[in-house]
Amino acid sequence: MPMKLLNEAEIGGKIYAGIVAELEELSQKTDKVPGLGMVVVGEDPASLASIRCKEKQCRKLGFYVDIRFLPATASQEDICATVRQLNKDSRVQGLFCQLPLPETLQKKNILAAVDPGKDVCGRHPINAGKLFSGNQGFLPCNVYSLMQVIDFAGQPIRGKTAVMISRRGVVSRPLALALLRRNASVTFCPVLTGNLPEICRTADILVAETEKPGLIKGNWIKPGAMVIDIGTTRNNRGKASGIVLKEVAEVASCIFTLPAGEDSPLAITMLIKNTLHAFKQTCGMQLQH
Amino acid sequence: MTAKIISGNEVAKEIRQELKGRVAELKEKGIVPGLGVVLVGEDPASISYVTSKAKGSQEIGMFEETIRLPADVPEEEVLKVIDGLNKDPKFSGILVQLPLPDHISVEKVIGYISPEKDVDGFHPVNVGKLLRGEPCPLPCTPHGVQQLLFRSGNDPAGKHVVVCGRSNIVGKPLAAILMQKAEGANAVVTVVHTGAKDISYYTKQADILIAAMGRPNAITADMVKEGTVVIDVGVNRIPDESRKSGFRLAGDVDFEAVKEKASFITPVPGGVGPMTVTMLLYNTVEAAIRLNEG
Repeated sequence: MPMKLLNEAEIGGKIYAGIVAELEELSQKTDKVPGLGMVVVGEDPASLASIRCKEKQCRKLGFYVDIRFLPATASQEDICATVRQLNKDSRVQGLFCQLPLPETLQKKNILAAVDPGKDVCGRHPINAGKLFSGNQGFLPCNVYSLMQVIDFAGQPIRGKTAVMISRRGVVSRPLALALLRRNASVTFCPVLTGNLPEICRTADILVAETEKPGLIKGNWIKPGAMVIDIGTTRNNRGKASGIVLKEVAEVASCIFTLPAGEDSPLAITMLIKNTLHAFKQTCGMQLQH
Repeated sequence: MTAKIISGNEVAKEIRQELKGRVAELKEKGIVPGLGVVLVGEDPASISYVTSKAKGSQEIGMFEETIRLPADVPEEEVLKVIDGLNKDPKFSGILVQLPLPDHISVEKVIGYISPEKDVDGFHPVNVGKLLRGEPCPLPCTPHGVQQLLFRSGNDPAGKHVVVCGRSNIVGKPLAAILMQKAEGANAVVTVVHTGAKDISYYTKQADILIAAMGRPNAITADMVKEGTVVIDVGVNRIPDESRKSGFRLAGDVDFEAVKEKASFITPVPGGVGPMTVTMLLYNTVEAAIRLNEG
């Protein structure tokens, strides 16, 4: 079987085209436009570049954009007050705080200040809870993007076995619940048990979010499986892949590598899609997932 | 091999003794944990659960009050009652007995309980925290299962736990609890359900097998590998004319056959059942401590 390396740009392009078509259709029904609020604290160059990129994409689609720049010295109260202003502003249906926040701040409190109905990055605990209970909420953008990738690969999810190799589960835990909701059986491997290779070989969808570079070997893979390599960033030394790509590529049917950080181009596309969902919700329209 | 029986009655008694000591200590500091229970309608099963919660509270020296509302009470009225309990410092824990009548939204009612006082652990904020591994009240039945395992010498750490069933009250939260990096957890966890083609393919991999499907005899001996620890969460009412009540209780596991292969097994009744109320009492005591710390 020829192995496919899934191409993020190709998948993103398809979703983007869908967003453009939906906006086109919406413009016939309403003269309002979707709006996205962004809160940036400090002047981290990577954060500013990411914000510019998000702004550019939103403007290109005709979204209303409201960016609030706060100094690195801003207090938690200052930031929450800005978030509350955006919560109340009906021109923005989605909003988020750009991460990372300065370390002196209580990130949890700030993320929880965002109105869960506008939390298009899916970071509020209520949206995590909704994912768990199977209710409609916002998926974190990178998890949403992985679900798109899996669907794009073209295999039905129902009845498949998904195995998540992950210590902390930042991405794979919510991803597992999203897969469970689509009727996959899911195994979480938070520990490196002796029979890990055996457990991996049961996987139709194998998700590697491990801090051990090159942990997963070719003979751990069920022939034809789909492999998602999340990797983890390690002390600015770049990204470490959890799989031995050369070996795994011989056995898997397709491999997708999630770029580091929360701001991959595909994740930004999903942010825009979530904002569009939020906009449609406030217009009282049905959501299309 | 014939399995050792894990007695939920005994483990529950042990935990209640511990709680009784903690409540006595708290009272010396002037803190009295209090549980507010809201019961809508007259469903006999619900009444029996609520009664055992009240009895358990008294047993460990806690304050308890059940607010009974008629089955046709408007949703708004239920929310008002919860609002009162949220504000009343006598109550450290609030529980709304489920199921609720159809005209009342469970999601709305649960979401109305103050997350700090949500001792069932069903409030979306607490569910989200559980998923992320942040401190939160653990849902009672899965927490009880974890305690049964840990206290019977079957620490799940490093074991492969297969959970059959993905309900929001047992399967999913149990998976979330057991995969955390924490004492009594740190397991490899698989969740299987009706979407799977062949459930026995998964159950045979289990070091610890949790049956939470709600179907009598769903787990048969051929689905279990030799030496597995089997926890039966199912509570099914089987019609039985020889009983005064007209039914007997059965779990999801074919107990007689499976106990010949398992290393440990829980009976129904007397297994997971007594643990659920006990962990509710535990959550109420914990909530009282947290609320007092401000």
